[in-house]
Amino acid sequence: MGVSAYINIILNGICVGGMYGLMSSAFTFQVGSLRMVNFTYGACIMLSMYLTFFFIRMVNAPVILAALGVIVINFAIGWLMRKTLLKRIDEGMNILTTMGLQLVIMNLVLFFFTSYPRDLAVFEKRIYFTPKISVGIIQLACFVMAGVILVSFQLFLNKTWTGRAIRAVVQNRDVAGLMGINSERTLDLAFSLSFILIGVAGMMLMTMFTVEPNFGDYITLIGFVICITAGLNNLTGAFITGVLVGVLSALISGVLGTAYHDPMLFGLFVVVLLVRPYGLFNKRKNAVRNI
Amino acid sequence: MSKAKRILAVLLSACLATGLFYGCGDEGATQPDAANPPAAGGSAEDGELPPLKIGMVTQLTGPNAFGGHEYQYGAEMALEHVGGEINGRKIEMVFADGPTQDATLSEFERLYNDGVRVFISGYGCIADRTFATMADDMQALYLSLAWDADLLQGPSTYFFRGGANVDDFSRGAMMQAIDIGKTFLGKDAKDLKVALLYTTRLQHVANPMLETAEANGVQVVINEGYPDTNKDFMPIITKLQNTDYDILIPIQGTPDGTLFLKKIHELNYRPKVILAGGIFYDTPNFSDLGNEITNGILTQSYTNPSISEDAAPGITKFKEDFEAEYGHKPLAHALQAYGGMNVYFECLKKVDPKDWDDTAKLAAAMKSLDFEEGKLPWYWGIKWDEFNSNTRAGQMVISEWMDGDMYAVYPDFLRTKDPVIPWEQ
Repeated sequence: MGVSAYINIILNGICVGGMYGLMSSAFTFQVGSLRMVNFTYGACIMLSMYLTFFFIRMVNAPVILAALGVIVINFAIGWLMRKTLLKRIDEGMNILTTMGLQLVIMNLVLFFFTSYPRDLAVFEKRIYFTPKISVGIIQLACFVMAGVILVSFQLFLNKTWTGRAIRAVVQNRDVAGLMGINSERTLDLAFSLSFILIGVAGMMLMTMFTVEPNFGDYITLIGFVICITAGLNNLTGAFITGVLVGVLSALISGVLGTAYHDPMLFGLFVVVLLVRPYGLFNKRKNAVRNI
Repeated sequence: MSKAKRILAVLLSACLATGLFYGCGDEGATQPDAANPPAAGGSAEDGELPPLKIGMVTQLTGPNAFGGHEYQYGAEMALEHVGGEINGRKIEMVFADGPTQDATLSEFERLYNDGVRVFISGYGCIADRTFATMADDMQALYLSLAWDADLLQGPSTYFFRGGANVDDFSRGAMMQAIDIGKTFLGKDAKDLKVALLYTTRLQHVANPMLETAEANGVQVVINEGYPDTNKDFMPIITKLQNTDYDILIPIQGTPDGTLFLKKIHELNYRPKVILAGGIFYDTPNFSDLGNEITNGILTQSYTNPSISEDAAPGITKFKEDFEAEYGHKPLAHALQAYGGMNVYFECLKKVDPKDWDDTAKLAAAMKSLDFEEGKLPWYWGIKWDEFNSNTRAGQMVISEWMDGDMYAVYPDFLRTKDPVIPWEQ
């Protein structure tokens, strides 16, 4: 393969990695920052993909309305989950209940949409930098949007009163309470907001891939690998690691072959865990929990 | 304990006791045995024999319902074409829904308890491996259309495997690739370069192809097995774009096949020749991708409705009547069921209708069938080996998609249209 082939593979990996980064950021925010272990995470992304398909292909809703619908439904799911299954912050119980809910979501999707793979039947145009080097417009747009959304989310957390309240509750719930912050409500809001990220990631993934009920399994796995590799609590780290994983995946598949993809990627994950147990982007074990 | 709880406990106990009472009843009194199936409607006393029931458990719901219904329609059409009877005794098809292996086994048991002793497998043949172990014990005649080469591990009296097997399918695909290379690309086997692309779930289909390629000196320049979880085909397509090869052989399911074909279309890349290993490439899901993508793609499958009347007498009538009755052209699956039913009819013709309820006699008649290729509407002949596998079901067909329709283009004696290789837009 020539240089242009490698550049194509890397460009594609960066764009797909951006998607990985966005979805992993939501996961790291929930698990690392809010300490709510949510194993419905992959299933919810899968559900968001189906909802996107439902609004656009079955209801023929305009894209803006479809996006709004997916975001509102995701926010509501997040709020409901927080108010019911995740009311108590108990990681062990959270794991079991959300794993159960994941199965419920998968089977409901199976019931309503069947396991027939669905896609938006969108053919992507490409931007050609040279006759041999190109990138998909949708992929590029999604990558840029993922970056913008994450920067906006970070700005929201840093610059707004609500964001500061979330950070305060995350850092020290008791002290935040003493400062007059309603920590329960703040956590409800933070968790629900993270579901908006999940919804957006689902919509973007739907433009690139075909969805089926077990799509979420792979997402959960890759999201987990990225979050742990980056280090929990670190949104920026998760995004960068997502891009790294995207590029690495593409290079392994393109150069060595797809058969080597999983063993090599997960092998590297084990190595990272051994060398830097707190992740690539976290410095020490007892870092103050921040976002 | 409160009063309400006491009442609830008494009610639950009563339910449990009732369940136990009925559950432990005398099985012999209610379960029919193989030799004495329950009456199947009508009676011998009034001079008319009851209809022979042929059971088919197929996927009538769920994601593969289209294939299940094709099987159902094919069987119904076969029965209609013989007027619903053979030698004066009526035949009745009994269909049941088996979207999963568990459901298939459960429905099989239900039909058996209802007196059905003659079965033909449904779409996907998802429980045939289990039936292969049960048919002899249950003395139920079973005609399987499953493609597992090792389905039967030993001699059987009641279980027959009538369709093609995976080894023949895979070796046939590589041999046809070699032939296409020679005829259309002017390359001998030793100069031919193929790229093989498959989901590892279908590794068992790829392996015999690789063996055949090696035996004939074909160079497999890309041998890419990808996990089912693979979502990104860009690296694989980049590799294909940068490799010199003559024929691409993809063996894919619907989710991965759709993504792959969409991506090569988006990249404006078209391999010289795509010779698909059936599966997704024979289905309506594939043709839904649109002519721009599907035109010129070759796909190998079992004998399918696109083969010529000369080689498969009766296939034209089957196609025309099927389309008139069901509103769409039949798929290969419908022909499988239609052909399988015709095998049963030939078997029934050999036995006195009064003896049809004796499955041992039917099994012996089935074993004695001997048809050369080209005598039945699915082209395949019938000759059972010592394990009751059909030795005359090895011929495969290559079809080419042209403007939304599949035409048989290979081999010559099954051809209905000349191939366009390589395809030119």
